[in-house]
Amino acid sequence: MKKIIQDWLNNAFGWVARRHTLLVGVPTTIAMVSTMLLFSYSYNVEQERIQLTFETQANNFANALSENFNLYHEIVRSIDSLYAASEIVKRDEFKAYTQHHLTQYRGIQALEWIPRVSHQTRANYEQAARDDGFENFQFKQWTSAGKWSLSEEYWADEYFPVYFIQPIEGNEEALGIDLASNPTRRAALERSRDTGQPIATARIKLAQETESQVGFLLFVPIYTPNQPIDTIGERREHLHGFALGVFLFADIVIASLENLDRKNIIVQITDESAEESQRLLFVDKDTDHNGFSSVNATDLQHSVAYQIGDREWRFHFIATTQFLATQRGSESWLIGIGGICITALLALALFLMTERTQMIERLVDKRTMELAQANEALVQSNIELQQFAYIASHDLQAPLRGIAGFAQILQQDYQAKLDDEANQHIERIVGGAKRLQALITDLLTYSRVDVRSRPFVTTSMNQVFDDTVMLLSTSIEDAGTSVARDELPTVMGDCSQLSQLMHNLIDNGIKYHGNQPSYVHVSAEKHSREWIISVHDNGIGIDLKHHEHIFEIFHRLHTQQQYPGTGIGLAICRRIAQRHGGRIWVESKCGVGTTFYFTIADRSTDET
Amino acid sequence: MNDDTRQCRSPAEILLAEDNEYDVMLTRKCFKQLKFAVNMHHVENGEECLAFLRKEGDYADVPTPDLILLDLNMPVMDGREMLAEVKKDNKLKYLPTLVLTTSEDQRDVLAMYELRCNSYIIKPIDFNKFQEMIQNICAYWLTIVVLPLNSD
Repeated sequence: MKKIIQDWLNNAFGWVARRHTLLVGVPTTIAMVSTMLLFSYSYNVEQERIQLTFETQANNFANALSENFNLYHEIVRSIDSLYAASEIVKRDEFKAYTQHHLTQYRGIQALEWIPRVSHQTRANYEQAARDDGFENFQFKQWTSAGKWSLSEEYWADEYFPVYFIQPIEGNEEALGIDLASNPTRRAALERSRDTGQPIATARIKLAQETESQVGFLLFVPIYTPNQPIDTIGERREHLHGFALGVFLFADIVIASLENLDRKNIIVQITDESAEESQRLLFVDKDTDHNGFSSVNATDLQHSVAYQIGDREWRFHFIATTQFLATQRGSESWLIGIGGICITALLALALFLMTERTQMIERLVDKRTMELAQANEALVQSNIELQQFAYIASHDLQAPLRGIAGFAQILQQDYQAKLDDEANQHIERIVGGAKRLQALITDLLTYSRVDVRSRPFVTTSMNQVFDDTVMLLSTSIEDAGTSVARDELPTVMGDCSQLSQLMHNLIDNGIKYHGNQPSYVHVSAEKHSREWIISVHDNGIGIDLKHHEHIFEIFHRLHTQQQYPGTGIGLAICRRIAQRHGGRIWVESKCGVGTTFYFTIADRSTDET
Repeated sequence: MNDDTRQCRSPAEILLAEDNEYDVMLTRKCFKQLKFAVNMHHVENGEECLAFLRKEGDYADVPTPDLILLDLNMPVMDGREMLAEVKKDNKLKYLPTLVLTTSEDQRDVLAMYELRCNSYIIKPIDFNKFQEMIQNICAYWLTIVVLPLNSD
């Protein structure tokens, strides 16, 4: 038995726990998953937006750079047209021609004319330059030490000196350098000459720059006008010289991107055609030598290829952490954090609600149990009370009958021997016993109204009235009262109790009559869903102040000598009326009469 | 043992089952005043009553009563159990058994008639009325009513 209860309790608690999990866990999980999905979605959308923003910006950068490089390329090429127009170009003419470009476009370090000079004409060139005002003009040679130097003893079959250079300011060092004496430059020259195409060099450090700025040279071959240049041989033979552009990456990048917002994006240019150590052409200053700062750089990168001469460059753009910080909105995080907060609140609310529901359920269970116990106790108490009343009545009546009986035997057998006073005493004994018996009987009746109840049956109040009048016929005759009724309804009720009710009320009407000829009249009136039955008399009446109290048990207004009674009759009436779901009340005026009213449900409405 | 099986023998044998001494005295007084010759026998509870009717033990020589007056509430075995026993017993069930009680309780009235009592009578408190009642009972059950012949 104990085990069964234990199991039952375990099951019950298990169910409560499961329900708890279900009611709180499931909605919370759904809310959490929704939050995560929403956050993830919003985060991805934002990532895509940032990516797009970045790529758009990077492409703008790339376009600006490409345009500028293309432009510089065109400028260098255009020098060709100068030499196509006239075979001899004077230093002033070169200056005048290039001046326009140099003032209009920033980022050009120098534009140069590199003539093809044979050893035989070297002196003429040197003299002509000196005549142009460069007193110490001399061809300069690349030494193995990595320096350019002046050398009288420097001999070669063919020279490619920097002969014209614009602007001259800042580029004086470069004037006279024989580019062919440097292997890197010579290779570029020869490739340009042989291909007939513009050639860009790999990264170089310029002679004229003291800082270790990186730049490149762009050679454009210029051939003698009106000569065939279809084959390598013809091109080698008819080469007139080179137009040369000198560029510094830093200057170009600055010039190209000056109108664009360069903050937070690292720009890097690499030479894909060069060997590993020579690849890096440019990188923003605030980054380290190997490329860009690993601290600032992010995975968000974009690169664009660019073809210059026969070299392939690459423009790299790298978003910094600051870029992401400025681009990243707070929506997704707001959604995430807000969602978590709402989920937490939801979980809390659900938890509190289920807790509260369970608390209430437990409370209801407890109260129900308490109520059941109280009810059981009440039923038990009622049964005991009934038994008590029954036994009391029987055991009280036996000695009463003894008292009355023996007193009456005295009266019968010894009447002659007793005087009048003794006989009166005996009568009082008998009267007292009878009264006590009446009290016991009425108390029993009163106590039985609720418990000793029989099911309600269809009861004709006319019949009830007629039976009551029959029972009371002796009293009616003695008092000379006329008792009459109107047509009374048929109701649902306990026939014997309704008879008792009618009996007590009519009996009262007869008992408390006045001096004039008395009557009692019973009538009925339908009111809403109930009948109001009235018992009216023209008796002594009841003072208003007693109207409430007369229905209380043992409440009497008269002495036994005036009007005998137990003081229980109207209390019984009230209990019977209440048991039938009705009310009872009185209207009365002293010396005029009394009307008792009681209500009883209308049977005809119950039939539907 | 008694061969006299007249319907109205004289004296009539009446058995009163009653635990209250006063009631016994009052009843006996009533019987004495009757014009009938009545032998009133008295037992104090249902058990004694059954023993009397079955002539067991001390009651071996008692006559079979013509009428049984039975109180409801008695010690040891009350009137209800007694009545049930009598009406179950094929030899006794024809004996007219009258319930004489103070109880006006409808449940008692119904229960006793269900147990086949022959009359249910409420004892009045007024001795004069009680005398009158006893007289009526005897007049009815001892003279008017025809009962089967006593077989013992």
